[in-house]
Amino acid sequence: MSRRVLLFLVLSLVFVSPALVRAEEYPARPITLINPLPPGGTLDLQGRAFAAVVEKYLGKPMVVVNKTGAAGAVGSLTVAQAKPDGYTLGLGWSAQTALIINEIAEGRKPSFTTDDFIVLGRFTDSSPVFLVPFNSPWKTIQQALEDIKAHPNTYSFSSGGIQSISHLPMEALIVEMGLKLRHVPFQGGGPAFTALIGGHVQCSAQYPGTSLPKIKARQLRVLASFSENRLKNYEDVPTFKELGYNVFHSSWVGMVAPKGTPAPIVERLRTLVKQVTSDPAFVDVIEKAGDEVDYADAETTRKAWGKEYERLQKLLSRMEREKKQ
Amino acid sequence: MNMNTDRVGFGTIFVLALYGVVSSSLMPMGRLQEPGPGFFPLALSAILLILSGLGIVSARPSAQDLARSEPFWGDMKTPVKIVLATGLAVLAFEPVGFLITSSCFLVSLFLWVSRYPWWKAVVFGIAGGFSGWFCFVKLLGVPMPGGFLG
Amino acid sequence: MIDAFIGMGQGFLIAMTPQNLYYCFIGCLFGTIVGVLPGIGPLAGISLLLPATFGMQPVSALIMLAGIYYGAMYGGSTTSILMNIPGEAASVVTCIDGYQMARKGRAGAALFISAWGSFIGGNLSVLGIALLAPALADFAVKFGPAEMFAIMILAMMLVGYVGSGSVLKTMCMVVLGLFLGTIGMDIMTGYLRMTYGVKELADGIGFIPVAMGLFGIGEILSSTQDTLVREVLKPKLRELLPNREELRRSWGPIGRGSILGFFIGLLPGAAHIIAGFASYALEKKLAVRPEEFGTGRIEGVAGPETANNAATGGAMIPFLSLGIPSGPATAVMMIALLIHGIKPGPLLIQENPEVFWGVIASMYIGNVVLLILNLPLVGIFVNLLRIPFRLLFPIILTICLIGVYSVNASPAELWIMLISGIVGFVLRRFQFDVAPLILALIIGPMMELAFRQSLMMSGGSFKVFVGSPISVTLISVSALLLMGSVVRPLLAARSPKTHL
Repeated sequence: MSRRVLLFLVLSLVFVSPALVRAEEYPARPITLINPLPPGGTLDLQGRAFAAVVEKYLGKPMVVVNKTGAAGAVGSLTVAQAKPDGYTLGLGWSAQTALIINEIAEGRKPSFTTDDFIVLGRFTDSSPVFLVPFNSPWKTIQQALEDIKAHPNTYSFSSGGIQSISHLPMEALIVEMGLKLRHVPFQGGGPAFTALIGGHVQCSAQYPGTSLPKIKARQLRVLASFSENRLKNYEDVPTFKELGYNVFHSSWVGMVAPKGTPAPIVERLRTLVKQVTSDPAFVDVIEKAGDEVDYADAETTRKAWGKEYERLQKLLSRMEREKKQ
Repeated sequence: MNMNTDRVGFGTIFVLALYGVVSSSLMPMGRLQEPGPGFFPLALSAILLILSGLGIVSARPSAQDLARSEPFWGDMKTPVKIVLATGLAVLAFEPVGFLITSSCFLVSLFLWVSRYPWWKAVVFGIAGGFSGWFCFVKLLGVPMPGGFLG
Repeated sequence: MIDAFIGMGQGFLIAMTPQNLYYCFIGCLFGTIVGVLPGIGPLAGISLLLPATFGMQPVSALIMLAGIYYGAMYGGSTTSILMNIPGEAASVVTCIDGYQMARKGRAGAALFISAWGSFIGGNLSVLGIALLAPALADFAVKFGPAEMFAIMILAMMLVGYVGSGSVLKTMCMVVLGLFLGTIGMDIMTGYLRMTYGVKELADGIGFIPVAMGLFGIGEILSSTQDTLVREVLKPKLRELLPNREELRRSWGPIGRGSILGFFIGLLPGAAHIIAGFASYALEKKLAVRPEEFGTGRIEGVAGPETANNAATGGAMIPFLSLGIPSGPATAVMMIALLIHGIKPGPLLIQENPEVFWGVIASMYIGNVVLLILNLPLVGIFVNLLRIPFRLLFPIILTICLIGVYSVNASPAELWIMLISGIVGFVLRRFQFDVAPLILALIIGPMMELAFRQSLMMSGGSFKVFVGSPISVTLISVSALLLMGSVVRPLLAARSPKTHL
């Protein structure tokens, strides 16, 4: 009997040994890109467009995985806690900081902070536009704002979720103009659009990429944009700023890696972001969708992140004060 | 009130409902125009409390209860063994790795639950572990923990 | 109408090029595998193959991805029937009678009818899309939060029908399931409810671990208790197919399931998982001996399976005609279109008719492909059942472990599965139904979201729930169903023989 056992042990070692011999060069396996927001939104589009081009430069594919929950907190936490070996990356976006700020404001220790991430680069930096259903009685933004002011708590807007990139710009508008507009959060941009198209809410702030097809299809109309200057593809849409309202919002989308990822891998990835964002295939997708690629390297993005943290902190504390009134 | 299976079942649910009512009332309720996180769970656990209460009161022994001669749970040896084996497998899954854990898991079940002769148990178990590893990890690329083997 | 025929013709020409047929086949095959494997769902499959479509024509890409979507629907029913493990939410209902049919040696018939019903349901829904797409597109958009809440309430009433036995027990399971659905991080406020620091629970108790546990492990624990030896029926070829009686009884459910499923699929959000149990409830209501449901009635498989596939077709309508995704899988398909430079939306049919009709035609072809794929597989699958149970059940347990781990690589979820297994065992012992619990678990968060959204929209007024004709109708129907299920047992309880 012991001979059988010995034979078995030897055989199993033979089978097992190949697994023990490993030579790893990054990337040796597909890379996972976590999207903490629901599928079908701006982040999803950019993430998947990015991932689709990656294999050309890295030799291994990148797969986007949605890990949704709590306006992106669940997915962000997953990235922050992932093994820092370069095989799990995440999408970063401006409103991520809002999640952190909110936790602190509620007196809780945030489950992750911006220090848990290494910034790899930025894809786009876009500003949303103010949308209304196609047969809305509001023809201009001034009309809309006046109407909302005249009828407090009558109208509502849809967003992709609390603290989402479609919620915060509207809050900026509300706080600046002293409006009383009801907020109806949905799970992601998709349902938020649907609610707007169906007329269940009266307005929404969404991003140029996902909005353009619906505007062209005459399901929605755009009244103003939250940007500094008029947007490409939206040349005849006035900005809030040029009309005299001090309202501005922009959201960037980029890629991050968990803290502790080794430096050579980080460098490789940072170069990758630069490469992919200048790749015509990627640019084509983004532009066809009505958006603009706006690459920024890690340094710039990190600085912008910090500035945004301050801006959002101010906005969120104003929102708190308004609520208490 | 005498005991019967339904009563015990409803009773357990009643206790769960009580827990639900207590823990959800500790959560913020919000206002009507912005219901808070506690609203829905509280409503649900209240309904559950009523339903299970009704159940306890109206439960009557079923035909099986009256006919049952052996203890209610029946022979628990096998389920307990399976649960223990699975629990150990779960504990070992990540540290020890998929391949070894699943092989051992299969071997132990084959040996102690299915009562195969020891050599059959070992052969089937290891074969099962390897084919699982091969199909899922190698062929399909599903990431499984490597444990000792990396 | 003529346009539709011309369009379909054009679509078929496109869909039947060797290249697109190939992609369709790959998609369906991949989808079937994904569906059969517990744990991995169509969303993951679509995400995996999306980068591969980058170099392809947009039509081809979408054909392949759509193939995965409904392939997974076909595959999900296989594990439900053979192992009582639902591949995904929509297949839960199939477990109830499908598995019982397998226990009685009618697995072949169940699989066959399931494939056949799916085929017919899928085809009828494709026809529905082609003919009715423009008219129905607006339908989906009329459903706002209040209407969705009304649908969820109706769904809960229907789930009540899925249970066999005492109404009170089933209702307890439903409400318990709804309650358990609130565990996790509240979507709206980020507040952690009852998670006790377990970070995996932040997302709520997942469907996959609970389904595999309640159904798979629970069933194994229960059945191994009595005996490990199961009668291994060696079916002859004739017995693999449904007999005349079964076929005759299936036509009705298939027909009704197609229509029901198609319309339910039109609804926005993931409402289309309701299709399966709406059909089950309908068949049970119409049946001559409803108490037999749950013991292996073929209507309980034919109807829901047809409805599921019809709903998948119906779910493509808002997506193709309006560019509105009806769930995560269609959302990713929408992104796929955007990546290929095609703008989904009402203009799709005008700007890119070849995509619109090509995809629709490929759905028809996909149905044919899947039928051809699945029928021979029936024989193989049934033979799997001939493996002695004492050899099979550890393998099933291991597959469950793999399945759950493959989703999130989380040992905590493995524990959730094990605990659900124990719960499932206990529930079976106490004769409580398991299916309503898990269905309510899925519906719960959606229901709560719609509820809170409605109140936020109306500023706290409950009038919003009866604000539109749609919601009024739905709530009235739910009320009627509720009264019906409460009143009937009360009347029956008057007679001394029965017990509540």
